[in-house]
Amino acid sequence: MWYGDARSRVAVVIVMLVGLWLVLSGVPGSAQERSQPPTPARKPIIVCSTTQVADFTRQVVGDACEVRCILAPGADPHTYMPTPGDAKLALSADLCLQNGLHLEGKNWMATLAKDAGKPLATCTDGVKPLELEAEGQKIADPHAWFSPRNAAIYINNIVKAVSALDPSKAADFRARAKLYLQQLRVLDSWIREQFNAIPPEQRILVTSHDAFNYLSTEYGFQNRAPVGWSTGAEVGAGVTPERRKQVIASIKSFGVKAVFVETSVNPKLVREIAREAGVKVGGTLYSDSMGEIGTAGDTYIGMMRENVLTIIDALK
Amino acid sequence: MRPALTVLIWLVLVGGLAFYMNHRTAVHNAPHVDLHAADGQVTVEVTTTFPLEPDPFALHGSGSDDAPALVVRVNGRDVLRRTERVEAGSPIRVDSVSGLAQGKNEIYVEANPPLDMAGKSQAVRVRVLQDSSVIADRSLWSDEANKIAAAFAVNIEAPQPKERDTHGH
Repeated sequence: MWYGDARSRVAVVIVMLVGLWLVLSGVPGSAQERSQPPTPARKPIIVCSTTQVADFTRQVVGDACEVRCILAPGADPHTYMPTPGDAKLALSADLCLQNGLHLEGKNWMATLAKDAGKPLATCTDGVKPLELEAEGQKIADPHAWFSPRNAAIYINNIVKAVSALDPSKAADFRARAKLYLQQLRVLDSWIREQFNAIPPEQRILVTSHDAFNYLSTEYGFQNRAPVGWSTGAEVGAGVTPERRKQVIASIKSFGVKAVFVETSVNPKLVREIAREAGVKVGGTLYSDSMGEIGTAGDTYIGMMRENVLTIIDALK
Repeated sequence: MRPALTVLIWLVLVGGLAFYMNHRTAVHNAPHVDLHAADGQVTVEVTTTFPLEPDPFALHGSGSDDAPALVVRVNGRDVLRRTERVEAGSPIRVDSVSGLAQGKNEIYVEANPPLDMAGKSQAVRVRVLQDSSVIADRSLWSDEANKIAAAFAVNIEAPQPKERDTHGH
């Protein structure tokens, strides 16, 4: 009989013991262990369009992902033309991140991601954009990061995108984001306190192009710029003689103490306006891009801090 | 027939064992419930020196009310989350607070002032009442830039004799 056979009995016992061992070894913490995906062979690569987006992303992912940025510090996202190297970089990406609201002139980041067949997340999703009126058209102002409150929205969008990319690290991403959001809160509070030292009637910000509306709206400044929302050739962008005249008139009528040039825009025009209006150039502001690595403005918080101090020193 | 019966019995035994082990793991990971929870009516009352507003610097994705203006936790468990604006000086009460145990308990309060009130220290007064008697009264202060997020311990006394378990448990 089958069960009477000694070898068969031994085989059945062995099979049962192996089964028992499998059951027991699989049980403790099994749910948690099963949910963890295998360790990836390489770090995921995230390709960002602008320096600000790249900095926000690094704050969230730490060393868990490799963060690369298309724009170099000081580069202008409105007029940037992607290179073959950028296309190659996009091909290597696991995720692409852009500012959105047409900051990337002619949607170059979306095009790079699409051509490479890579997922793209937009950091300004959910931002309530300021609207600029230009040539009868309403244009959403893309410079949303100049309000730390909006920077918090960028962070939330990045957390969502990178958590989808690597769910096993989502808890770490959220923990880092929480700390960074606290830093943004402190930054916001510090900016309010600092700008409070400038009398309200002197809070007029004259810059190269229309990039500081969010900063101005958040902290009670009036904003004047000879160049529109973009330095490129889009609707409502570029310099017009009319805008130039208005800016000079504003400087004279409001008794503006100083005007500011920007790191990513040619300073020639603002210097001419300053000379014409008889005011000083108060300094250089980081606008569409952060500073070179090793400078005080090589992070978002650093660039905001330095901008605020430059404005206060000139207008107080 | 017998081999099949043997396999069936083995499956029942090992399957039962696997079920038991899984169940034991789940029970082990479940939050600790104190069988001697405080029986008295406990109320937590929060009053702020500032209007409460949803937090624009909150991390989203953790629930339906992601940017709370006020959070009250007892022993790590939310007992109140408010997302709407609340005027300064209006007491907010949480009656019949559950999850308290006899002895030491931790009350955590997170309250978010409006951004334009930054630069000024703000405070939250938290009173804990047991059967209408005040058993804790604390003022929690914020740093200039931050929302208030602070925890403190409160001692809940044993229930009154009339409410005691007659079995002495």
